Amino acid sequence: MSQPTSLSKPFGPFSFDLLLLGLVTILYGPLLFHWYDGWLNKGDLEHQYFSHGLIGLPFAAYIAWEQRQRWIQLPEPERLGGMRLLGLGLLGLAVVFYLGGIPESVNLSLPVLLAGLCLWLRGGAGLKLQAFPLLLVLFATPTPVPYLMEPYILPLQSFIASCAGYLLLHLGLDVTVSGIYLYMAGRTVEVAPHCAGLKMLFTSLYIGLMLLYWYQAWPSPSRWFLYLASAGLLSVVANILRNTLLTFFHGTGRESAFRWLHEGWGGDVYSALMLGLLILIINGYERWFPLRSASPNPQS
Amino acid sequence: MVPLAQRISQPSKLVVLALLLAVCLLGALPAYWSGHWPWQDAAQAAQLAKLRELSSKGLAVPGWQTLNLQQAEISGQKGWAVQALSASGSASASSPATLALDGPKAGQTATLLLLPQRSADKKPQVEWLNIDGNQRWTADQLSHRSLGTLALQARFFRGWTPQGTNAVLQWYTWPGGGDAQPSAWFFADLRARLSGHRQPWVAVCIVVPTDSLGLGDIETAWPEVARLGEAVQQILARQYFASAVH
Repeated sequence: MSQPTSLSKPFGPFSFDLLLLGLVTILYGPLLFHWYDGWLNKGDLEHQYFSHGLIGLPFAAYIAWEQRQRWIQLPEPERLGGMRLLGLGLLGLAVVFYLGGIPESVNLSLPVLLAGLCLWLRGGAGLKLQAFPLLLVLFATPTPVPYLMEPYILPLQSFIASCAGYLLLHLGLDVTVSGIYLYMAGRTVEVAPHCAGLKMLFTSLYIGLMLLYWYQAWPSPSRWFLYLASAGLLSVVANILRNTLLTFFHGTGRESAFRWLHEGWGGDVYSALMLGLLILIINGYERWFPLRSASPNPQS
Repeated sequence: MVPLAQRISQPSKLVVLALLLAVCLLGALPAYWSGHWPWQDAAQAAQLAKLRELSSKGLAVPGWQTLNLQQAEISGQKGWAVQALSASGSASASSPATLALDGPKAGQTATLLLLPQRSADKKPQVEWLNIDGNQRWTADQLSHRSLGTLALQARFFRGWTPQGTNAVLQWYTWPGGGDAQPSAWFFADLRARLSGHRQPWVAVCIVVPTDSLGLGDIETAWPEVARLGEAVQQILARQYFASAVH
């Protein structure tokens, strides 16, 4: 270790780390409160798309904490290399974003600042070490990306509407499908972008990402594909079933059941069950088709 | 202060602390002090109140008279003004030659649908899909066109049912322009917000029935539709967006 002894204790009084943590908390405490408030109290729809951050951000913090010894042991770069200059650039960008004062830029300044800190303090190796928690923070940061994507997932909406209509027809119900609309007994159900499971798709992909880390499967590109494809496929199938149920409830006048599944806690239970199933499926992969003979426990 | 200075002796760490301290002083502390954070934007309330009047008052279009105006909910979306228009040329048919050149054909009908932005956090949500679902027409022959010399891109398509064919023109309009894509509004609004204001929007949909039988040709209706669209855009800009800075 090449560091001065006074810095080897990460949380001594007035240590650099403590001051850094304090400043970052002052800057981002209210923002994180706002994020959590929006996720827990179901704020606006676009913010809801990122509610997987509820568990993602603590998980990112946990990973960073778990590997604190490896972080401390990384050599502090002496010279100004390209990576460190990039880090300084990112720090500057984060400052501009934070002071920019519009919600989107303030949000984005958090992952940019954290990446900049990793690069500036430990160079490329620092970024590599913290890559996973940084990805988790980045994908939990509310951005306008889902809003801008919504007009382009029309084919997915139509597909889900067609499949739900097909299922209902085979259950002997009189349903007409037109584009993203299901008509049944004079009532209409629209498969809107958030109903088409754009949110559920994001959540499942995010959980897939967390599981990639949990099972230490991330070095394998085929595992990335397997995990994320399973997450995507499962969320689409789950949404077909959900929209089938919603149309059934609405079309047969079971309004309380419709509201329970659509905006009540039934929707949350449904999502939780789907995510539980995803965890079981991926656990199954690792149990029956392990990548290598090593223990899948990341703590080992 | 000596032990502190010793502990944080490396310049790279001092740079980080100085930078973050500066952001705290410039950005965070004033927000703590005032209690106003960037993500709570409460601007433009007055302008939106005026825009919301569109839902109940509709729009007076020269050359057209309003036969019927009602507020409607379209596929779950509240606040639409649905205005049945008829070319007022039929009343003053004394000079048919000039009317044929400039104004709408006598007896021509059209429906004007307007949805003003309801609150500061409401964004355009591809309301065109709601209209498709409500009208239950088949949409085809879609193209994107500009209206006269106006800087906007509207979508123009044929919406047909067994009962008849409609030429349909749709776009979002805002003080700085207009486009059928919500993303175009988003980036216009983003640019405006960077300089401290907003771009309030109105969704406009014009439906002109062509003929009552079979699959009609919408190209013959285009000049009529474009003229009406241009008029609507100009009135909105003059009466509702004139006060906006851009």
